[in-house]
Amino acid sequence: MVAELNLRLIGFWTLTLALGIFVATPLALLIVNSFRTVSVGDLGFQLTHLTLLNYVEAYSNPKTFGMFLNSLWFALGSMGVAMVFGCSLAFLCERTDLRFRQFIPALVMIPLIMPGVVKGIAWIFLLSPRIGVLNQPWIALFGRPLLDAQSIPAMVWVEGISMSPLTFLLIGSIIQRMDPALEEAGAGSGAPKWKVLSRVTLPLLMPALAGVALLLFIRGIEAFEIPMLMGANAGIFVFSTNIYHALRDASPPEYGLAFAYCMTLILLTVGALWLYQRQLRRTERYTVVMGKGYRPRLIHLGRWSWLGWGFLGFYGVVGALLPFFILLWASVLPYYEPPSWEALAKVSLDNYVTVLRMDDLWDAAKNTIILGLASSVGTMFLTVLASWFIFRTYLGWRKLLDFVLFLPYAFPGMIVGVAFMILFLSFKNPLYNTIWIIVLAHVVNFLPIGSRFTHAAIVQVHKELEEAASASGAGFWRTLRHVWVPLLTPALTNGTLFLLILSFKVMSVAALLQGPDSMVLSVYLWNIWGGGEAGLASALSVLLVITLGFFTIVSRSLARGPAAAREF
Amino acid sequence: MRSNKSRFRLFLLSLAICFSPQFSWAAAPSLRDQMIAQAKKEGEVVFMGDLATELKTLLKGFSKKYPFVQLKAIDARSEETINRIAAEAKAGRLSIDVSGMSMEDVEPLMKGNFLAKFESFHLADFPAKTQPRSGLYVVGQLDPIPHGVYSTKLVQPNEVPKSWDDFVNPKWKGKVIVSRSRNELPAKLAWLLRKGNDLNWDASFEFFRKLKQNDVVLGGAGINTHVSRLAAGEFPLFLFPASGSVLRLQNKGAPVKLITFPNLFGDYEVWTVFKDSAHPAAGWLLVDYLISPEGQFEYTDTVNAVLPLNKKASPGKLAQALNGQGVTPENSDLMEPEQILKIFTEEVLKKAQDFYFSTLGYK
Repeated sequence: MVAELNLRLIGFWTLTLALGIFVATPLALLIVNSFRTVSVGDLGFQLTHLTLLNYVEAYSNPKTFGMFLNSLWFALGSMGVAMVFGCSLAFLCERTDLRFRQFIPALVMIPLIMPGVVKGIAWIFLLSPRIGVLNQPWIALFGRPLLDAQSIPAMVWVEGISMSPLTFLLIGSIIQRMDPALEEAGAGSGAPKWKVLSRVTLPLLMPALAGVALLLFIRGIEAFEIPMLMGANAGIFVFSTNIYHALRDASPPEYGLAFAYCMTLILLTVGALWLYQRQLRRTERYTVVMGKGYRPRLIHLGRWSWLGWGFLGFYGVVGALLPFFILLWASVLPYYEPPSWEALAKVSLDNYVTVLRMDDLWDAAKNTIILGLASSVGTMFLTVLASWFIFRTYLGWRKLLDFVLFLPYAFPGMIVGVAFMILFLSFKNPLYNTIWIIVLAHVVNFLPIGSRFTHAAIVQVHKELEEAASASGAGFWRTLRHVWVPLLTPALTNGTLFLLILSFKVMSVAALLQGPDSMVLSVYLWNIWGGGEAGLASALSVLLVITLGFFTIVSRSLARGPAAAREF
Repeated sequence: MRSNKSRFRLFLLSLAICFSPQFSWAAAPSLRDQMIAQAKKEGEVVFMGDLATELKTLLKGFSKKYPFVQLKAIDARSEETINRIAAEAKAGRLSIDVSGMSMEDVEPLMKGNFLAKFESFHLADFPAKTQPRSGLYVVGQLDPIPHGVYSTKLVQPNEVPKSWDDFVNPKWKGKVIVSRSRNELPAKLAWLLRKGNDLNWDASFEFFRKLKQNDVVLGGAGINTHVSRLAAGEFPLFLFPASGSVLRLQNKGAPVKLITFPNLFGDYEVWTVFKDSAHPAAGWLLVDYLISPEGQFEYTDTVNAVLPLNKKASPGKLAQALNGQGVTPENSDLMEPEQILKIFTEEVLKKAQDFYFSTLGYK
């Protein structure tokens, strides 16, 4: 027993310190440089040119407060949209007998797979008051636009739809494995379905919902692509736009100012984490996966199926297919123009031929697959271990580990990139300039997201299962393999899938750390897009969406097991 | 990696040959031979900077001429390139051999003492005023900033702006887009409208204030993507575009055309090599090729819509298309590199940037 406790202690501190070093380096870089007058080529840990002016400039500007309020509205609004769509879709997919529901994941993934910039532009082309595909007929009918692309409601809608896949995956993996006993007890006592849902199911899902809502809120605060494309043009500025502005628009970049703004993000993150931990103070209240009968019964929709189909259709058409259609349309034209008979004459597959013949494409694809698989699997492995230490042990300092896991959410990707560059240049190693340094940086970047998947899942598994394993003589690793892994497979699959897709899209870290032989598709796509080749970028994006959509269907069917696979 | 001693010898040799009174085309091969022999051992050159992907993909002549040197590329914005070079050079592990960027971005690399002097007999064919006296970088091409681009579907030929005032005509209210990335423009316009040798801030600021009153749209996501919005018919006018993206879309049949009237601001594209480069000879060969007549032709034919500065070089297709739309060296305000660095100091650019963002509604 003592030996096992020692092992746990050693394991805990090894994990905490290893992750701590990789998280603390960007944090230290951010804090040190927020107090420096720092110019291009001068980023580092040196304590020179110290100043408080960055904080004075950031927080004495009266507009900062207004931007902060805009950020709150934007983050709360998009969180609300994402929760409504993500939870409803997860419920329809995992808990109802809606026909063809197996295809919901692939549909839901479309907004996630589409690169942020491409998605933003697609929505501008849909909702532009001048040339918007949706707004033009609407204006003709009603004399005013349905939704102006450059307004907070439009930003909230697009960001909310973009984040709904994350909600779907996080919530879906939990309700897929819920113990039906409590719901059945509710139903057995004569409660109608809606009452069981509101009085039993929803309260049981509270920690998962709170965790997801928190994650979405922080993502909303951090998001910059949609606010930048859809808000900044119309004078609607949010907090993240300011950070991005200081880092990217200003020339030379105002690193100190950007990092001073980042400190607010860190405080928000810490505050949100504190709230989350308070919510989870009594984790036993939320265990919904027990030792028997953990596969929940499907709800028969019957005559309410039309409602499910209607909701699915609305999301499918407006949320996923319309932007994808714009992307597809752009990919077959030499340059983008709104759909018309005249434009139809210009349709060809030239962009696809050009993209597939591009030098380095296949090298970039190979690197991307390595990066995606290694960073997603690596992150999930580490976060499963971390979640276990946090929720299944009584070790002191375990909240520190949770803090370490969540903190990277407050860093812009660029900070992680620069910090890793400096860190890996400071000692001899074979990783610098290879794909593996990008993998490590992605793992650090993805810890907050990976841990939300594993935290929410582990909290809900009753301790009786591992107690039973322990009573049968199984050690930690056997319990992990035979109890935890099978029970956590849906969450692990969803988490891995989400991170895999994310690693295909995120370019800020890879752009800084790539070597001459470690180009990845996200950077490749950005270079094409940034060069003004919207047609080629759209063609590559369509290929990515199709590939990842196919991969989503296959991986989820495999995760559900042979029985589910036969449903296709 | 080469030792510092042999790198120094190589440098001395190249200097001696270049400055020798007997220097001529006949003497040049000996320098080139030395570089070629060394580059064969090095086997590769790593380029980082703007248009790196295009350079690697489209610059076929270099690989044909030096098949033993593999051209590798990392596409990055200027500040990313500078940060990386500074971090790597300070750690003694520089992996970049050549960088390419806009003239005004090169200063941090000079201040950091990272740059190696570059000499080549091709430089004698460049207008003397275009090359820095320090020899610490090479001005390769002229990149004049066109005044604007317009949608030929939305703007009639008689409506095309012919002066700065035409851009702020009330009929374009809410229909002109500018890029956030062009935040140095108030300073450049102040130079174009200068009084003697002094920046005319008043006239420049007045123009941008009028733009704001006319509800100019401050667009995001880079310079190149806005041209697509013109091609799509979303906006009729875009101020200060990059020529390359306009020409690429024109070649695909998009209804966009450059706007130029007398006196363009002439930006420079520069190449640099580094003191502690891992492949100094291969880096030298790449820059030497880029400034040679065939390199200048090929670069302006396939890689970027800029104008060659080597007097012996013929302009490539992209450069010719620029010439056809009024973007010529003669129409450009050519400055000496030292003059550019002296006038467009960090303070001046900061003043321009602060004004740009505060006036157009950012801060």
